[in-house]
Amino acid sequence: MGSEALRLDGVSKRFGTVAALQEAWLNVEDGEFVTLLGPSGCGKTTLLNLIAGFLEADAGEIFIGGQLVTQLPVWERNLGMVFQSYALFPHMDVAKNVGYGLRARGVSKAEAARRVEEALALVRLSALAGRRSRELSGGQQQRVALARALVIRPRLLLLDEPFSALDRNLRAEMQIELKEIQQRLGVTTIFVTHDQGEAMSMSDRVAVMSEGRILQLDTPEGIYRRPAHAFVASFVGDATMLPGQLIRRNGATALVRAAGREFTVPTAPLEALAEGAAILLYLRPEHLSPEDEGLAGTVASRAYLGDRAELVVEVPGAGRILLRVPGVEALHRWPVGAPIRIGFTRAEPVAFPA
Amino acid sequence: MLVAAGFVLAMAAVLQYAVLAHVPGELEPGGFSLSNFREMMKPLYAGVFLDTLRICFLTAVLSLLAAYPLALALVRAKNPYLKSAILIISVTPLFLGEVIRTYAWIIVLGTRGFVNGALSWAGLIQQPLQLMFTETGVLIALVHVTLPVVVIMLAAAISHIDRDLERAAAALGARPLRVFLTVTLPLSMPGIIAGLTTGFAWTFSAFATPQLIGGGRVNMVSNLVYSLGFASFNFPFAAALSVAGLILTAVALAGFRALLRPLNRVATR
Amino acid sequence: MIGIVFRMLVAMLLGFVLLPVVVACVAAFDARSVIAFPPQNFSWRWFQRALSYEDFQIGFTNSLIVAAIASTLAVVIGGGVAYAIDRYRFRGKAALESLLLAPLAIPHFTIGLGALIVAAQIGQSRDWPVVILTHVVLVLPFVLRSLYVSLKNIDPRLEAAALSLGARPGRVILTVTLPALAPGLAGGWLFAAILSFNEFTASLFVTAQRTQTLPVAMYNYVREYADPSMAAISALYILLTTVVLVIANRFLGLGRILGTEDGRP
Repeated sequence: MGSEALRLDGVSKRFGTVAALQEAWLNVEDGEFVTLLGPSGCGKTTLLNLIAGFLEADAGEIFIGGQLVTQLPVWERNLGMVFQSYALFPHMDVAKNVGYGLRARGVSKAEAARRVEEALALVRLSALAGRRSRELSGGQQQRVALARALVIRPRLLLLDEPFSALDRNLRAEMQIELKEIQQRLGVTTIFVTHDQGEAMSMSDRVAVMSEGRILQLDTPEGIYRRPAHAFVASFVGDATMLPGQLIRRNGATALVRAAGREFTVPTAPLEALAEGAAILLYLRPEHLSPEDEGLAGTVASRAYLGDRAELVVEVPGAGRILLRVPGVEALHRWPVGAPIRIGFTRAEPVAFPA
Repeated sequence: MLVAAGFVLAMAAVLQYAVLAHVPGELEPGGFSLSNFREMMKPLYAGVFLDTLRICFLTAVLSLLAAYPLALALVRAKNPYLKSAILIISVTPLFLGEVIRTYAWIIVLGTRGFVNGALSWAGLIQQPLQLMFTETGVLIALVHVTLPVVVIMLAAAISHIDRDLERAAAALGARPLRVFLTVTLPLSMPGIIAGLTTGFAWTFSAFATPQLIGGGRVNMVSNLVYSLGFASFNFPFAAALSVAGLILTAVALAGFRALLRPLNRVATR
Repeated sequence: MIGIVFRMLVAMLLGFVLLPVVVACVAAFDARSVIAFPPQNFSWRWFQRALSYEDFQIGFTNSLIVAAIASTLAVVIGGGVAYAIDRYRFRGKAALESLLLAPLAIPHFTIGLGALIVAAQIGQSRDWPVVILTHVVLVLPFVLRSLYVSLKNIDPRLEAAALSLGARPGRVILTVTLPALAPGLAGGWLFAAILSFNEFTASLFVTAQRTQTLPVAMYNYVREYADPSMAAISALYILLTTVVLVIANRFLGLGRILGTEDGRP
């Protein structure tokens, strides 16, 4: 890919005694869509505000497009930001809102008008240029906020949980639209969310954060299939955790035992462990299926979701295991109390120190 | 800054004059003296202080009782025109100033005023009622003066009550009166306290009403301060009375709050 | 049942509030020179007399001047102070804030007396600067409160958004903060002007014959005469105030300025 759009070199921020962000290192390439994902209080919004310049870093440096911006005030960073509340100026109409950044930059009237029109066309709102923001629906306000951020041709587009106020259907629609616009313009985007589905579906790479740290920065697939931390494995996607032991390491893979069976897992997270040490095995529910030779248990509860169903299976001596089966099959074969055997042939288990 | 300085200067001047001696016939005060405060202990002045406290207290309580239904109606009115009408009617007197309101009450309460005119026209009285120059008359007018502020404070508190709480109480089987007594009233306690204390302080500050309707027979501290300042030119004593008045209101309000605090705690627990 | 009783009670209370207002207006049209009820013979003569009475004319002009200057000063000062207190931390902030709000708790006659003594001490007679400064002190707390509320209601993200779009702080204040504050500023100014226009007790202490405001002129009139001229000027005053309030309610939302409405629907 292209050149570097954003670089964080060990950026830290404290609020009083709370370390809101601890030594964040991050490289984002031109045109990339990177999501900061984590629960509330993990530091993702702090990180975004540091990039934007609303907060000042206690340590570390921030580079945007190769330029050192750590000391640069917000208004000189040339960023587009979309806020959770949209923050549309209530005393201006849509066109004035979108044109605000251009006026602040001294762009000529004619040029500004042309670019505002272009930006509104991009978000399909040309017809509403004269409306006031409070006369718009949530989705329309969202689009105005996006147009306002994009019209200044920012070096970075920053999005702070922009979809959290929208209902489910509208949210899905806006996600697709945002992703399309982002790809068409090729604007480097930093997106903050606590919604893993949103993060997985839109991002080129995801940075999973917890307690002020970036735990893993990887593609959605890497985050999901090769989690580097127990937190990442449990925060992204569903997982059943089974206690077990490390048997031995064989280079890139390791052998562990749990629920009376042996599993092959990636070695990386277990690097520091001695053989025989306690581990936690993580199993994804969709990688498990009923099999004749499987682990015996009984269905403890069943949640029918239409296309699929989630079964919680009580396995004596191992605990409860979650698995997903096709919906029709669940209705007919797996009522609560039915005996079932769980097979692991498609499993991609990972293990972490207990 | 200038405003703050001016204000501080004015208050400092009052404090300073309060401890200076009055030289009869002179505008310039004499030396340091506590005689002003000794003078205040005389029954004549002590009586005025007691009257003032009683009038302030009664006015605050009566205003609260009258303001609550208005505030409730104002916040809960569904028809926007009715809401605006209640708001404007109950708030207008606030913007009319003390003089006009007091004057209006003079022509309502006077010997040949509206009340006596109406009652004798209806044949209910032979002799006109004496309302002017009585504490009752002063109280009526003072409640009218204080009412709008108390309405505003109560309405602010009532409007902050989450209506779902009342809906929840109703859904649990409480009838309207019970909902009011067990939910609305306790939750509006902050407004009640604010209304009472403000009503008290405002009444203490009132001047034209007791001056004109009391007519010298009902005196409050404010009237005394004015007549000492402008009739006797005894500014030191006027200042001392002001300071004593300030202290008295502060003590009374603190006492008020202390008394009401347990109630408030019940309400907000 | 409760509903009916409550409605009657509210109607009676509104009647109590309106009674003196209505009575004064009715009395203003009575042709007799001493007020008595029931009124007889309709006449406009007291309105003519009130409008041509010199003290009322001078008082009205004086009140307008004082109210306009004092409330403008209060809004300018209050705007700066409220912004500083809301947005910045500085030494003595709490002290400054409570100092400027203190006149709310101090009786007007005390403030008037203090202003009078100070004016005498610094050799200022009871002239305009003293009157205006006293009024600024008195109305400033109300302006401050109204502006605090407006400032608190501004979404800080609006300013953040403007900054992120490349606007410098000065531009942000001019293009975002001030316009968002405009209703609060207008409401605060109007409120201050009405309060100042009506202020009586402190004015009685600090005004002289030349600087007397309308309420002071009216007070003096009530003390000396009993004819319905005063009722006539009261009626005019009531009319003017009601018109201003109805307009303010229409355009600014009186309920919001006074805090009797939550803002939420």
